[in-house]
Amino acid sequence: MDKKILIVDDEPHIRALLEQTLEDFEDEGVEILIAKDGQEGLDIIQEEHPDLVFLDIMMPKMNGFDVCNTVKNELNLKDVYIVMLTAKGQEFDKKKGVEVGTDTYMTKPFDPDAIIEKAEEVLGIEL
Amino acid sequence: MTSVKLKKLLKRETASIVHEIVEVIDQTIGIQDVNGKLLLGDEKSFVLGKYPIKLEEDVIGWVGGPEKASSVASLLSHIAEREFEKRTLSRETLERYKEINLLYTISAKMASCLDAQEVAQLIIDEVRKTIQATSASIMFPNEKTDTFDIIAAFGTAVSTKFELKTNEGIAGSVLFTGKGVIINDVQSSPEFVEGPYKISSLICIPLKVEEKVIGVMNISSKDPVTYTAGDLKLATALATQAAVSIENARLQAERLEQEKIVQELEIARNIQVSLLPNTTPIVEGAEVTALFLPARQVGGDFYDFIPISENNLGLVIADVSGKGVPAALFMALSRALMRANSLQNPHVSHAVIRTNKLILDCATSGLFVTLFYAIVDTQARILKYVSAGHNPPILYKKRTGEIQLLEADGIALGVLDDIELEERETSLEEGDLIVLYTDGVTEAMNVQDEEFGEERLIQLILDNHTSSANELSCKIKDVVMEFAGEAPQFDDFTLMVVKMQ
Repeated sequence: MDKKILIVDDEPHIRALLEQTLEDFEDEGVEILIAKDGQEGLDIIQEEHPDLVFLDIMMPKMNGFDVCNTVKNELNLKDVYIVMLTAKGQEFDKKKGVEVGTDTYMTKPFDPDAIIEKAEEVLGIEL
Repeated sequence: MTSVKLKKLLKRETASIVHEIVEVIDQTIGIQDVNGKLLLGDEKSFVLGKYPIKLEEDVIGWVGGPEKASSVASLLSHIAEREFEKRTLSRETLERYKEINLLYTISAKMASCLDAQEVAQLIIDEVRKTIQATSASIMFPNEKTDTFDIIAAFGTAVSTKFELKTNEGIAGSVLFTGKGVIINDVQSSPEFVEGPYKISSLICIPLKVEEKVIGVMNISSKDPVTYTAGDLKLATALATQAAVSIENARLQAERLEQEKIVQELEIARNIQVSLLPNTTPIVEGAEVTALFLPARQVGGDFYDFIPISENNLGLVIADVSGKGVPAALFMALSRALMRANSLQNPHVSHAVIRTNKLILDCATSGLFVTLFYAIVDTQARILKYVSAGHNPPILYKKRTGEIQLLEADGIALGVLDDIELEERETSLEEGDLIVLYTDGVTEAMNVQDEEFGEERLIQLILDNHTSSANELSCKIKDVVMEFAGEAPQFDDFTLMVVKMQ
């Protein structure tokens, strides 16, 4: 079955940049899915069951922590690897991160190479 | 290469728009990708007609159905164009974003780095991640050898022993013009100087601090690569960051070196001053005085009064070659040996020859010392002296008003094992003046780069022969200082004056 990456961010330019960063994975058969807010992200996770999610924290409708908590603790989808994206200058609440079951977090502006490395590691694909 | 896949396009909002259109036109349609794989709708619809979905001039898929299906194909072509534009822009933005991220990362790393070589290596390591290359280096011109020194590198540049002159090659030209170049076919460049490793393509940029070019950065590939203006721009941004940081690191290192030198000079000066006599002896039949002004750089001048016997006073004046701590230590050794030997040898030449031998036995520093040694017998009024390559002291004869230079053959100490020194003697009379000095007196320079000179010193002695020894030495110091004006004192200034009574 094809692997899937989901990008959840309310800022269009961040979505576009992340999608572009991960473009080469499409050539490896990875499907890249996009969600514009937390609720849409949660719907896609339930529907598509992605392998890896890049999840923004500050979003309308449903924030990243709530999405992660629902996925990991309520839906019990432990195998969905969630990378929380936190804005620079905004301290990541590590305690809360652990509580909601996030796998790791990265700071925006993100390092494109670090994003690719993380995706390679989680999906087991070497570009 | 940025492209748009129809399958992906149909997954998003586009799919629902297509469904709405299908309902509006109330016709069955089908959509195939460029390879004929059905992505949406009914395969049978292609019997009615087939309309291309185009992205610029390329067909990326087909819409099958009646004539009205052609408008769906046009719409999908339009959406594909917009998606393509969006992705092209995103790709461009991502490139800029990567550059900003790189500069941001480098700035953060360089902020804590105070070593020029470390900064240069940091830049080289980042360059290799960003720009396709098999070798890269940062080189600085070496002013002594007129060749480039590689201070950081990766690839073949790490092991090269090749020395490129600063006035040749592409790097030489960039150093001179201060303008970066891209040369994608290096072999055809007239400026290229062949080295031991193959190079096909090259970017060479100056490392500039304000308008001064302090070095160059080379990024090269052994296989042909088409370096772009974007690569040059990025490399220039990195080189600019590197230049400022490297220059700061170099200035910091220079400052530390300077502080070290100042400390060393302080030590040397303390050694030197602590070894000079702190009083002048009182002898019957003569007035003796000495004056010493150390230079900032610390030369190796010394003088000494040695009480040989009740009426015999030894006078030593000397100048050690070199400066700083080594000269100060050599001076300490020479002075101690000279003092010991003077007390054991009544002959002036024997004392100095013995000192020379022991200096050569003890010291391997390559330093030497010019020295004048005399014994003045204040009772018999006789001066016996030898000169080991030192400036001849000036003797003023009161009775005739003449000047006599106390010259004697001999070479500096610490050079040859077996030396011969001519021992001479002269009689003295009341009112005669002997002025012993080092070259810091006669070679004092003024701002016009003129030397004070022996002639001025002699004239000064003639004009002031009635003064006491102390007055004369102060007068000489004042006149020489006035002559030098604002010009810095490069050498120690040492003066001894003996006036016979």
